[in-house]
This record gives sequence, C-alpha cells and structure tokens, in this order.
Amino acid sequence: MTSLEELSEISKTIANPAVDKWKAQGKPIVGFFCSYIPEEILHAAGIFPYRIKAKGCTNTPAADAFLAPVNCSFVRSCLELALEGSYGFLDGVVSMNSCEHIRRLYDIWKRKVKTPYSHFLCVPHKTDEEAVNWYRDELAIFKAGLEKAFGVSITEESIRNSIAVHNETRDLLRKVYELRQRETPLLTGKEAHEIVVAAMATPKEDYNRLLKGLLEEVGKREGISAHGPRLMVMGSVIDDPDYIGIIEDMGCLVVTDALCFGSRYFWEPVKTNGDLMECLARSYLKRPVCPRMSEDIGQIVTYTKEMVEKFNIDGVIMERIRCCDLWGGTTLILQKRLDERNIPLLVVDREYMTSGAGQMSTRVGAFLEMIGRG
Amino acid sequence: MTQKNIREIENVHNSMQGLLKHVGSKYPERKWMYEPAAKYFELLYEDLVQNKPVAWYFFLLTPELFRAMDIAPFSGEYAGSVISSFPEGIIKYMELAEQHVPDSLCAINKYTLAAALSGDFPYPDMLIHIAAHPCDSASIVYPVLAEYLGVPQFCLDTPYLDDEKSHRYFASQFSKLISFLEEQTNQKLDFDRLRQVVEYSNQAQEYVLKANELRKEVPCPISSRSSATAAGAILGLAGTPFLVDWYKKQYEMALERVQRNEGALPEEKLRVAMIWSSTFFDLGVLEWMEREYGAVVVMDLLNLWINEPIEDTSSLSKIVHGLASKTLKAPMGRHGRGPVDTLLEEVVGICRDYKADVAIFAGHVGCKYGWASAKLLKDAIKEEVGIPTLFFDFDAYDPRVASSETIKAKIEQFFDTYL
Repeated sequence: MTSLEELSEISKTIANPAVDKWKAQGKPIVGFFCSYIPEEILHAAGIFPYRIKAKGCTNTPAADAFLAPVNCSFVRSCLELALEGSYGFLDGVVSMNSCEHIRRLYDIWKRKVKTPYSHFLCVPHKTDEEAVNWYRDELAIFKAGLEKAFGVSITEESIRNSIAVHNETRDLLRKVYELRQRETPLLTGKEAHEIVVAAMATPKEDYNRLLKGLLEEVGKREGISAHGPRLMVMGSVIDDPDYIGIIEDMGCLVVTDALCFGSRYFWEPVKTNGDLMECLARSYLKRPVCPRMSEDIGQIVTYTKEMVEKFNIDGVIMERIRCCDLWGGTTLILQKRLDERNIPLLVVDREYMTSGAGQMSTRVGAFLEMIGRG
Repeated sequence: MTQKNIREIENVHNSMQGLLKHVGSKYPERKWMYEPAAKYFELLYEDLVQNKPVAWYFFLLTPELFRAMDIAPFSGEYAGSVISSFPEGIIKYMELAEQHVPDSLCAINKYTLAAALSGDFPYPDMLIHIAAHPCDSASIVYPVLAEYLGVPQFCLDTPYLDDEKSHRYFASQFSKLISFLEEQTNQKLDFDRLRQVVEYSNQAQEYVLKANELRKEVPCPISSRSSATAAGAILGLAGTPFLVDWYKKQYEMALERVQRNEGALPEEKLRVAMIWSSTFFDLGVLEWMEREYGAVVVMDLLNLWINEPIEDTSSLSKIVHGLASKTLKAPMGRHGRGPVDTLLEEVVGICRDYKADVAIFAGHVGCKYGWASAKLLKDAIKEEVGIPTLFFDFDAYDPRVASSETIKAKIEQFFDTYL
C-alpha cells in the first residue's frame, strides 16, 4: 500500500488501524472538536488527539431527538455517531465555544455520551494581547486538568517537543500544498483533502512518516495537465473528501482551500519565541481565522485573496452548511470583496451528508460554464 | 458629522405617536403599554435632529453608555421588534437581507443588516457588538456590516462562564469600549453624567426585580402584554428617567392588585411560563390566550433580568464592572453563551417559583441554541416540575413562517388537551 493509499484509507472511516493500535497499547485517545484547540498539549500528555468528524453518517434519527432541523447537520451527524457508539474508543472529549451548535453539542454529549474525561475551552473571539493572555490561562487550566485526569506530568520539554512534531506536520503539509500550486498539480483536490483529514486521525509521528513517504511518491508523478478551471473551496466544515470529489467530477481541479480540515489547520507554524503556553495561545488565535473570530472577519477576505493569487485560482466555491450562520453571514462581505476583484464566487448551501450531490453537481457545472472554461 | 437620513425614524416616531393617541382615546387603560416603544423612537428622533453621532449596537448591551455620551443609540433588534408588529411588518427588510445572506439567520439580525443596506435608516458612525452573546447570527451581522460599510467597530468579547474571572475580563472590554467611544466622538466621558444615567438605570432595575417578584402571586397581577413590553423596554431605554417612571407605574399597579387580591385577568385559569420567545409580531396572541382561556403569562425568559442594581457608583471602575455584569447577565445572553445548565436551572425555577400550570416553548426558528436545548428543557421540566410543555416553531418577527392563526391553533390544541 502506498502512503497516499494508507492516508486515503484513514480518511474514510472513524476508527482506523492507528486508533486500534494505539488502544491496544493501552494509551488514551481524546477527541476534540475544532482546529482552535491545540493538539500539542494533548500530545505532550502522551494522548492521541483525534479530531471528531462525522464521515459515514447518513441519517440522524438518534441525534434528532436532541437537535432540531435548524441545528447544523455536521453537529447532528457527530452526535449520531457518538450516540450509536462509533466514538466508544475515546477516553475523553475537548470542546470549545466555536459556535452555538458546538456549544450545545458539548452539553448533550456530556449528558448522553458520557465520555470519561471532558473539558471545555473558552477561546476568545478577538486576537489582541488581552485575548492572548486569557487563552494562555485557559490552556494552563486545560493542561492542569489533563495532568490530573490522566495522571501524567506535562513538562515544558514535552510541550516543546510536541510543538516541534506538529510544526513538522505543518511544514510537510505546506509542501503537499505547494505541489498543487504548479500549473500541472501533482495531486487532485480530493487526494489533498484525504491527506489533511488523515492528519487529525493519526498519531503525529506516524503521520509525519507517512507524509514524507507520500512526498517522495507523489514527486515522481506526472502533473495533472488535462484539468478544467482551478478552484478554491472555503466555508463550513468539510471532513469528507468525497465532497471535493463531487466538485472535481464536474471537470475542474480544486487546488486549494480555506477550510478548517484544510489549509487553515496547518498554514502557520507555532512560533516558540517565549513562554510556550503563550506561544500556543498566540499562534492558535492569530492563524487564518474562521468567522467565529468576531472582530477579524476582514482577515477571511485577506486570506482568500492571498490563496487566490498564490494558487492562480479561476473561481471560489463557498459552501455553507444550512443554519451555519457564521459562514452564512460572511457571504455578504466575501461576495462584495471578490466582486471588486472580479473573482468568480459560487455560494452553495448544503447539508453535511453528500446525499444532495446531484444538486451540487448542477450548481458547479453552471459555475464552470459561467467562468468560461468548463 | 454629515446630516443623517432620518426619514424612516421620523415615520416610525410619528406612527408611534399616532398609535398612542388612538389607544389613549379608545382604550386609555392600555395606553401605558405602548409608551416605551414610542419613547424610544421619540428620543432617537430628537438625537438625530440634533445630529448626534449614531451608534448601532446589539441590544443586549443596554444603552447607558451611549445615553451618557450624547450618542444616538440605534438598535436594529429593538427597532425591528417594535416595527415587526406594525401592519406592514418587516417583510421587505427580510427580503432584502435574504438577497445577501441565508434565510436561516435570525430575522431580527437580518433586519439590522437590511436596515443598513437599505439606506432607510441613519448611517452608523460606529458599530458595537458582542461576540457569541447569545448566538452566531448576532455575532456575525455586525462585523460583516462594519467591513461592508467601512465603519469603525468595537467587539465586546464574551467569556463562556459567569465566574468572577470572566466578569473581570468582560469589564476590561467595557473599559476599552469607553476609550473607543471617546475616540469616535472626540469627547471625554463625563463621569457625573454617567453616574446620573446609571442611577436612573439602577432605580428602574429595582422596580424590575420587585415587579418580577409580584408576578409569583396568585392570581398574577401583571398582564401578558405588559410583561412582553417590559422585557423590551429595558433594552432600548435603560438609563432614562422615563423608564424609572414606567417601571414604577407597572410595579405600583401590580402591588395595588395584589393588595386587593386581584389579578390582571378577571378570572385566572391557567398560569403559563413562556420559556423561550414570544410572538413579538403579534402580541395580540397573548391577549387571545387571556380572553379565550384565562391563561396569563406569569413569567417569560426574556423578562428574567436578575442583576442587582449597581451598588456602588462612586468610581468609574465600579460602574464599568456593574454595567459589564449587567450585560453578561442579560437574559438570552446568559442563556445562550454558556453551558446549558444555567438555562435549565432557570427555566425549572420559573416554572416552579411562578407556579406555572403549563410551559410554552415558542421556538423562534432563528434561535439554534434554543432548539438545541429543547429536549433537555422538556426532560428537566417534566422531571423536576411535572407540568406539560408545548413546543412549536415559528418566527418571533416574521409571520411568513407561522401566522398568528397557525400559532393560535397549536396553543388551542394544547390547552384543550390540558384543560
């Protein structure tokens, strides 16, 4: 099996061989909900940080007892999988105030799923120094709680090592994305997405080893020359590479993104020039933002424009999971700013499950025609 | 400062004055219930005529600071909730907003957004908003408007919890807000003036707390409509002498009724706890419940202002801490921002302490966090109080989702079954 095939397999399921192997060694796994939660602290405690996703969920009958149709279908799907036991391998769960759906999901999860350890991080919605200090203190509380709950000591050295390991991941993933900047990209968007999704479902040392192998393998490929328009995808959470595949099946190539299961996860390294907890707080708050960061909405546009230029983008697809008001509201400013630059934008509303693929294909097809290269 | 477009505010102001006259001549005993909304638009209109700088603000940040700094406070949420009850409602603004953002955003935030895009309302000189307090819809509309319009913004960042550390963090945001307002208006905050405004706010708050206590009496001395009016008044008018007089009047009327052992209704048959929203586009639904079923709303979540008046107004830091605390503890805000436990405890408390026979979860479709709490609420009420709860979905401001008649039919079926 090639590294790419291995990473692709990992991205397709909730549990995976790495999870099984880790559990067989009697070591803990903690699920987390959002890319603002520093995995480094969990890693430094000898815990496998696993990003909770909902891949494979096709219906939400159990979750619908607790959540309504106006609640995000990603959140409903995560709850469904948890209620049916798919997350039985977790020893703990960490959530945060990402959005109102995730806040309530944590309330329900704590009561109904009852994962042994749970923690909620209060992440600021601003990025000024006061916010950084607040988040540093929150991370210190989180660290102390982990030490107590799992009977471990998280030393400065172990955090430094974890930051280094995760920075290596970031560096390798940027190299993967650089392969897509070329005129003839070496990876499809779906493959790239599989690679990033797998990053959050594999112990990082193993993952880095796989990524190095992948870069070697893929480096030998012929570039993809026969492709349609180069697109960028952004918006609500996508943890299912098939979604990117549906877009590409219409005759285009997704060459970059601004997704939290995508470039925003790894784009900036954690700088280690001072107190490490403060470094983590600062880096996580100041990385490419999602619209939960209330005062920095403009930064989303800046990041999008940077990506458009760097990856030579022909058009942007912004997908919004229904009732995701944060991304929904962001449309107003994104549309205006991209229009000003004549960057075509397709806004698509969707549910988490890919069952509405037909409609998606139609919309993308029309968009490709509109931008004149489909 | 350039002259603002005040046409729409003038129209609403005139409509409210006309309504007051009409109600005053036909139903004089009801006129006082319409006074807060009329006063809000009267004061806003006067501020605009004087060409004061305009702050658009999210309404859980009550307007004391603006009133102390000669800033015209415009809250799209407060204005929209009043205007939604007009015959023409806010539909044209919903349609405008939905050209730009999904229809799933809360109607009252869409109204704010469309009010800005329409150009019908005074252009903001600044936008003040609160993050995640209570919902994403409110969180996103102001910053995107600030970016879209190119207007200075200030975001008050909220913590998740309600502990002392969180209050200190939030109070610090408030201090920075004052600096921001000073910078935007080129003036220093006049402490004595702020203290005076806060004293008014304190006096009003005392009456709010006392009136809420009286509502526990059987029969309940305060009617459903006046209760719904009171919930909004504080959001638009805190810090004005008018509000002190108005809440005092409400309290004294209620006290007299209690002393005479009378209720707001001729015969109280059913005590209702409104545990989520209310039918703001048609408060007549509440009066219909009273008429048809003798059902009075004894308490509603939006009236549950629990903060004590600011005890010590001798220093700016103490006032700032008090105002910050008031905002953090605002109903809806504290129910949505943090853990669901606060909501569950308080709803159970409302049902029990106000001796409710039934609870109604009027589920505004824009309140995603509310709907995500519904099952937990249902279970908590059933287990701890043992009363039935009606759940229905509707839009508190937009009758296109469920009309008054549809809502009445749901309530009718529930009451008929229960009674």
